[in-house]
Amino acid sequence: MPGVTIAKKGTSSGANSDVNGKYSIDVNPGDVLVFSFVGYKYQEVKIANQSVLNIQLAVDAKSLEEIVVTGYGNQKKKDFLGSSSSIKSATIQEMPVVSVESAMQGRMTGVQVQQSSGQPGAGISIRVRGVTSIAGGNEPLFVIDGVPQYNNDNRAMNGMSSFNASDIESIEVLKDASATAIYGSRGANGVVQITTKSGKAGVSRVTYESTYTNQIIQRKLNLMNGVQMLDFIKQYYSNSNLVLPAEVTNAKNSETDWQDQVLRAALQQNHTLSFSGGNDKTQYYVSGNYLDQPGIIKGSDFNRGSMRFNLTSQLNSRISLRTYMTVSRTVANGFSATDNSPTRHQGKNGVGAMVLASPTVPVYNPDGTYGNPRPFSFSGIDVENPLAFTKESLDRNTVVRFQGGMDFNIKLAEGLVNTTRLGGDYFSARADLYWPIVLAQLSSGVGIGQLTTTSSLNVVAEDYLEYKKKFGDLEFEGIVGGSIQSAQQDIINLLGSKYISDDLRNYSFAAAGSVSKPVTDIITNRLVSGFSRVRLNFKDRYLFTASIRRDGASVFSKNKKYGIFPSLGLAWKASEEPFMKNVTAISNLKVRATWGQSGNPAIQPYQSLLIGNVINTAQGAGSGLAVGLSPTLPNDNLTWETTTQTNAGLDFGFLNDKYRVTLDYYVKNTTSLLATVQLPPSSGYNTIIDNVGEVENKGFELEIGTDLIATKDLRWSIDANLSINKNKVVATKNNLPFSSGNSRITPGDPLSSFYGPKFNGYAADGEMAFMDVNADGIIDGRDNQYIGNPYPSTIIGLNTSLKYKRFNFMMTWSSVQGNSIDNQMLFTAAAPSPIYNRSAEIYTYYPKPKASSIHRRSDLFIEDGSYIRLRNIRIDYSLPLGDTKFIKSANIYLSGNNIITITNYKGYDPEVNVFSGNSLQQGVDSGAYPGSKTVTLGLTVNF
Amino acid sequence: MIQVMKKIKNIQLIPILMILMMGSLTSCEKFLEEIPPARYQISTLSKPLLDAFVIGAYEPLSRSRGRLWESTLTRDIEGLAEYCQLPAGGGTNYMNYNFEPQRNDNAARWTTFYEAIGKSNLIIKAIDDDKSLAENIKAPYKAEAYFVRALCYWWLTRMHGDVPLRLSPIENSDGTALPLTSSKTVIDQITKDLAFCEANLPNKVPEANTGRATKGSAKMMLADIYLWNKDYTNARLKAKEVIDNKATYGYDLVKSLETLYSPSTPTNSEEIFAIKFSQQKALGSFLPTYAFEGRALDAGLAARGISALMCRNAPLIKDWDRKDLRRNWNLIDTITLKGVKVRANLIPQASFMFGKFRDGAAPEETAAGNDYYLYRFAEAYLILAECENQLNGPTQAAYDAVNQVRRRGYGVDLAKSSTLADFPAGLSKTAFDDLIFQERGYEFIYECKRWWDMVRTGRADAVAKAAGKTPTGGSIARFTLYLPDVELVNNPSIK
Repeated sequence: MPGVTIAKKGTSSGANSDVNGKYSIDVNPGDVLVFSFVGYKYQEVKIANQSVLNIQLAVDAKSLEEIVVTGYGNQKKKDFLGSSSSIKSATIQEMPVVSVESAMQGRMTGVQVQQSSGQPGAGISIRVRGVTSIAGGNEPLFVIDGVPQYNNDNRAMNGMSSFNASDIESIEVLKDASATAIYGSRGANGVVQITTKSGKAGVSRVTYESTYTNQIIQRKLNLMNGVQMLDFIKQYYSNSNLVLPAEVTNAKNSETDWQDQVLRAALQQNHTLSFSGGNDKTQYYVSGNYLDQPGIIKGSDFNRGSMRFNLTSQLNSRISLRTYMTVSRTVANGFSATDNSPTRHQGKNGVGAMVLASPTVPVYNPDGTYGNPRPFSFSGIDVENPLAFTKESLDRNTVVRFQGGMDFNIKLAEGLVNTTRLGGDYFSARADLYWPIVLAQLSSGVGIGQLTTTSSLNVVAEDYLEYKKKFGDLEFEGIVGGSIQSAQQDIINLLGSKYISDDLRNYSFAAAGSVSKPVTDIITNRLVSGFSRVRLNFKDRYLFTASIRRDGASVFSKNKKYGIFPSLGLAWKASEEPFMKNVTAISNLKVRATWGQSGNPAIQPYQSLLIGNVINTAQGAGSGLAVGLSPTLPNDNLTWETTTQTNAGLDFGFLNDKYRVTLDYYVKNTTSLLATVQLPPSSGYNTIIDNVGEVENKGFELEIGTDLIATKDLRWSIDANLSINKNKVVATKNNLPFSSGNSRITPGDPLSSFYGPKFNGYAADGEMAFMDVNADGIIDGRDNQYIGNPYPSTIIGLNTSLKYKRFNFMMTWSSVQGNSIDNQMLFTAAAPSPIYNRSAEIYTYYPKPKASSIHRRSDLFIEDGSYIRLRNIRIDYSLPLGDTKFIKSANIYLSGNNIITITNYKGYDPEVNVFSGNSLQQGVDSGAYPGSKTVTLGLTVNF
Repeated sequence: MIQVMKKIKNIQLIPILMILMMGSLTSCEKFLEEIPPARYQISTLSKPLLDAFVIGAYEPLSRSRGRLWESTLTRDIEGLAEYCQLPAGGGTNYMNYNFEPQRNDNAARWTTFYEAIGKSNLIIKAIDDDKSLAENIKAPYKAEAYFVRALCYWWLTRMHGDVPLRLSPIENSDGTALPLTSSKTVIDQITKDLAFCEANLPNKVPEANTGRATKGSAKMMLADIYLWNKDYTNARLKAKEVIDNKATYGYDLVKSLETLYSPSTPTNSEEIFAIKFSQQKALGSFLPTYAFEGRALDAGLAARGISALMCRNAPLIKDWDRKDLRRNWNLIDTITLKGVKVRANLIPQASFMFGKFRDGAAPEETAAGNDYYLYRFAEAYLILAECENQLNGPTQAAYDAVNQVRRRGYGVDLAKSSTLADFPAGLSKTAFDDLIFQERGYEFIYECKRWWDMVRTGRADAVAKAAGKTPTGGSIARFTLYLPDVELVNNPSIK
């Protein structure tokens, strides 16, 4: 077996076995050699007089020595009584992921990972055991090497995309309250613990990994071509009893397929070079990564350069130090994603332009200028020539990020260790936007430039004391500690227009004829905490844990800043009982139950204060600018959302853990739900953040793993996971429903449900009819009913891995069921109006489209988003290298991602949530960048 | 420390230690206090603070994409005038006076109006609660808040009829349900509030405050309200007060149309109350962009042209005397490109573009600088003339009033009688009234007054049909727009 570590016990000298399993090491009789390899039981052998020693390592059953990365200390999986899912670096590297979270898809029960769109570097949202909040956000807390982060969704650009996935040793998602309560106020949505790689003593390694990935669009939308569009316009005018304008009769038709013009096959490459090693005292891990991902839409891409330095050092017998640091720079060129505001709605966004631009218009005019996207006088005004959009506009996000920290451990006495942790995360982001003069629809023909710079510093300081002692059959482990975290964000925004030419883009605001007043802001956010935890283990059969944390958060109102978050857990390792020892078939049987509370403070700061927002208005002579104040509506009762979670679980292992089953049942109850409540405009305000309501998530998770065959040459394992979650709003203030974002919160229905009129067949005049709930003869907002919700009820993942000699074959399937998607792109493209290109399926909605047709956002446009997808299929070959000393191992692989998708969804990709995790508008597909399917060729070499 | 630790053999001390550490770390009040570095925290009232809040109450009225007079409110209400042509699509429903399908067009403007009302209510309450400032300092600000509120309700009730009448600010999210109040009650309330405005607003405002309310603007709005209610006596009274006080208030007719509708002059003597716009991104209006066709930038008319509304050849337009300078200013069918005059591209069934608001120097489509008059001095004359005629027939006073506007329109000396410009002598009361209706149409084209004139004089249906429009159902059945879903769905008191 290659790569086995052979170390001389008690020294720093060691060796590695080569490709053929051969090794050589200098020893003296009496020395003890330790043979170790991940996944196998280590062996110690005392050397006598042999010159050749052949060792056979025994397979180590997967779960026994696994470590769970819990908060403030790790725990062996067999002693862990909470609920968590994890993946290790080997699994992370199976997929050619650009961003860390993608590696988690389909692999963990209770964890839904969803890309917001197919845009390179796009935001990814993670949901752990259903959604509990509206305004508080639903993203879990990310803890990287012990340092809690903020997940910065910068206009749906992903905060985690700065990190190189190859640097990650493991990802642990803590799901139940006994595990998350230690993170108190931020643990309600689960905790994602990321641990980066360290060097290993005595194993010096240089690794080069490289992948080339070809991406193509999954499928195109079914849009009209030129002939169909002209025909549609003619029908429209005829049905509306209007005279067909001459410009339509005489229209030229260039039959442009804008999707073909704008899309391309794109080749992504990703290279990582890493060095790791060290001796007994000091280990290091250093890596560098370069990623270049062009997008399937011309002109868009994402690239990243990053470096990592991790160092662990035992300074003396009492003190050890671990430092970790990463520096990265990412640049993403986008396609003007929409935010559904009037300035960036579906027309002024690239994908919207591609869908809505008229196919009768030529890409270029005979004189070389771009084809005019408005062929008719009644054509809509916002859609630009899509190819011109890709070539001429600038929408770039540049992020430079530094994240790092240090852990300082002092052993004060036997069993008493103090850890001091300092961590920081600094990033500087720059968003450049330029709509050039040559794109007349976007820039009014004058050129519009925008620059937003955001810099953010997040610093955390923690200290905790850990005491471990064994009192006879009772093992005691306790920690007590405190933490302070402070974050500040500085924002500057500049807006200019009327440029002389497009040459300088937006880089010089002095060149703009008109610059709006710059907007600046400084936002601060702080957290102070104290926490404590006790773990008891009696006879290795009865486990108990209790923890408590008190957090104070600056974002809440004066008298409601503090919350206390306790948890309790019990477990019984039945398989360790004497009477179970005889039942050899059962290798592991653990029953566990936990209860606990965690909080969610993720709202914008300053909501509880009476603030005057500065506004500008054009009054007065002279500069024609007056500065005024607009007061906010404060909520001086604003406080935490508290989630109480009860979890009961069962872990089974059969036949020496050849078959493993994990079952969990949970009930999560969230009270004081934070929501941005839509007020009736007559109140004078649009929205207010309030604690209003209660949500319940109940669910069931099942994880099955088997190693069906495990012989020397052939191994076959299957892992499957099933997560079922039922979400319900239990109560609201006065039990009245309210609106928030694009959804409605009604007691008895799921959170963030879609409401709208229900389609009720066609009336005699060919127009759509809708259910008139209050029977007043008019269809308006009061006839809205529940028509779907964006959260899935079931998530299934299936992974199988087949290893034969040098070949390794694996497949990951995943399926999401029960969710709906608000397909706003289709809604726009199926409107009975001649102003833009239409969906070719418009006649299924409007058999006779006419001016008086009322286009309602009904249940016809809230589509079923369920899908089954072959997420990853891969074949891997370990190269036979002969007896080279230089290369220890090498393998190449070929894989495909998202190759097969089975869905009824009509949009580009059923995996879509264009406004990212924390937005009020969930489950929306509005000009979402299309998803791609990919084929990857990869190579990994170990020196 | 380590020595002490070694001596602790008793487990009981550990919990004490835990509590101590937790306690000391969590009582950090100052650390958790929020003090936003870039925003004002409001505590006690002062004059500058009050002034800033009042400016904040005006802000929604001119807000870019607030969807009031800077963009779609003007387009939709002017679209109801008989001479207006809207492009196919949503415009067709306005052309046919079929308001229901477009109900949610009202959402943005409804919200903006009520935002201004909400801010005015906050100011009024803050002033009433305050004990520190002197009454004479507070009164003009309170009057301004009443004025902004009255303006918003005046438009809301004409557009929608019965609307929720909110007169005090909400404290929190409870109790936001509010039933509809009858239009008559709404109008009675704002009439009462405007009396306070009349008494407490200044005669003039300093240059720096151009665009804020004055006595004159309160009187004009009162005249407008009385006219709507056919209370000609009071309407005449208010209009006459404005004319009689023109020296005190600084009002006079502006001779040149180019000056009157200029995008760059900060103010002029004819302005009584206008929505102020500035040639800066997001501080201006869309109106020139709406009015002109795609080549507007090259023609020096607007930053961009999107043909959102144009003018039909209705009888009002067809019969417009070519010697009336206002006709040439307002009706454009040719544009000049590179020195060459070419025919403008008009939307189907339109004969002209609205030329009133032009801003070739606007930096972009949201930044046309032409102010939008809600009340100007010319209207005082026209109201006086109309009311005088209604009360006493076409007296000399009525003729004198309207002839001022006529003479300015024709570009002749205001002081001398003019056979060209003046109304013909010896008209009957009805004929005079018809001509006043026509005159208001000429004077206020693209200023959102035509539809209100059509409705209040009962001429809407006839005039629309005479212009070739085809109201859904044969006749205009309903003169008010519908409430948007965002209000209906979130306000359970509206049945």
